[in-house]
Amino acid sequence: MTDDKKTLKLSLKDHYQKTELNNDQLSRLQQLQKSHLSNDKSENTSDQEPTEQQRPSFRSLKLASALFITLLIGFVSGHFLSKHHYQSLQNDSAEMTARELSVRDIAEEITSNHRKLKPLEVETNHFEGLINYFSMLDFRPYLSHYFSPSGTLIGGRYCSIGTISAAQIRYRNDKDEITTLFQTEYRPETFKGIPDVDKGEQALIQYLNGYKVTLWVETGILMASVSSPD
Amino acid sequence: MFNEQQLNKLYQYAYSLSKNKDNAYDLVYTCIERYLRQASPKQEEMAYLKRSIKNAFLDQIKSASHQKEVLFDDAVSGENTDSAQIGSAMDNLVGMDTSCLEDLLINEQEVTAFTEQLNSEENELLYFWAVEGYTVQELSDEIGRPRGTLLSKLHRIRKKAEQFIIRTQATHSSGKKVRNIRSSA
Repeated sequence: MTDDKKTLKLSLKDHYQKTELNNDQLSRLQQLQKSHLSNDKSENTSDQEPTEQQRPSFRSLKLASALFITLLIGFVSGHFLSKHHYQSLQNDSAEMTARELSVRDIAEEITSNHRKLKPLEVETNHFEGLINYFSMLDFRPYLSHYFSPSGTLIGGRYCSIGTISAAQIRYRNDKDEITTLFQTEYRPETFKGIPDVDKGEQALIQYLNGYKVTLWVETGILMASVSSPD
Repeated sequence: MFNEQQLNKLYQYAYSLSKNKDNAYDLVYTCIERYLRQASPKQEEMAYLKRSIKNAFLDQIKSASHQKEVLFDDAVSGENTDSAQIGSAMDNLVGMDTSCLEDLLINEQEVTAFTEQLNSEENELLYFWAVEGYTVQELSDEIGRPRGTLLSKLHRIRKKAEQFIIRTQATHSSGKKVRNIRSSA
């Protein structure tokens, strides 16, 4: 038993150095930094004034206009000749948007927000208090008829789902368990495959990292709750 | 851009505070995101990020209403003055430093269990001492505590470690006795 004993310092060093980010976590952190860098670059590019050399001359403007008109004619004729093909392109594009914010993406993001337990920006036991606080949103938070939390309302904070502003509303039950309800403006082109309970559809339930995630649309608002499994 | 080694260092520091891998990752992610949003990045980015992680961790604890747990015990019990006095006295009399921990022997499984028993501040001290190789003075500069207070805390950690090692050895020897009795029976 004493053979593998080391000094406390060495054992601690080994203990912490063996604790490393897994590949998924590492790639997420690297992606976060890359996306920030690319945003910075695009902002810098758009902010810069064109230099003398970058400014287009009259001749090059004429050339560009001619090219644009040619392309436009080609595009319009192509459009009438292959309307079917164009429609299929549109469908592909719509599918790409859906992939960008799939049910899984939404569930992962809100579960992560739920776990972070960031400080509440407003503390209230009344939904009316929340409605007053979330005045910067493009919609008015709605007291859902579908959602019945196991605890009492304790407050909320602003957050986002994808890039869309959202309300994060928190409930706590007597076992100190937290349930988070997210509400954001429902955009069908962004949030695909979410059932609408006003149309008699059943809410979607998913289990992710040990949490129960429920998603539905109600009165034009995308709602999502995260809680510990029943 | 933080490289893989730096990201892992931040993660290990966050883990020393929270003792939970998922939470440590969330702390690192949140703080890097916040850092990147700033208009002018700071010069000493690793030191800044570590402070940011610690503050985020403390915020998290407060918001989760877990203040009952003694995380940074001076803040709760007001023992700072006493610790400083004791530490200062020891500092003068013995001239001790982190070497009070150097001669303790422990294996890797035991060290995991031992860190579980310590509070976040004690784990933070051990992290800076063992992984970053800080001296008491560097610890004092980093954490912003008087040298005497830190010496007192290190002395207390040593006592805890000794007790832990004695308990572990007793458990092992009693386990061996049981095994011997069973095998002889």
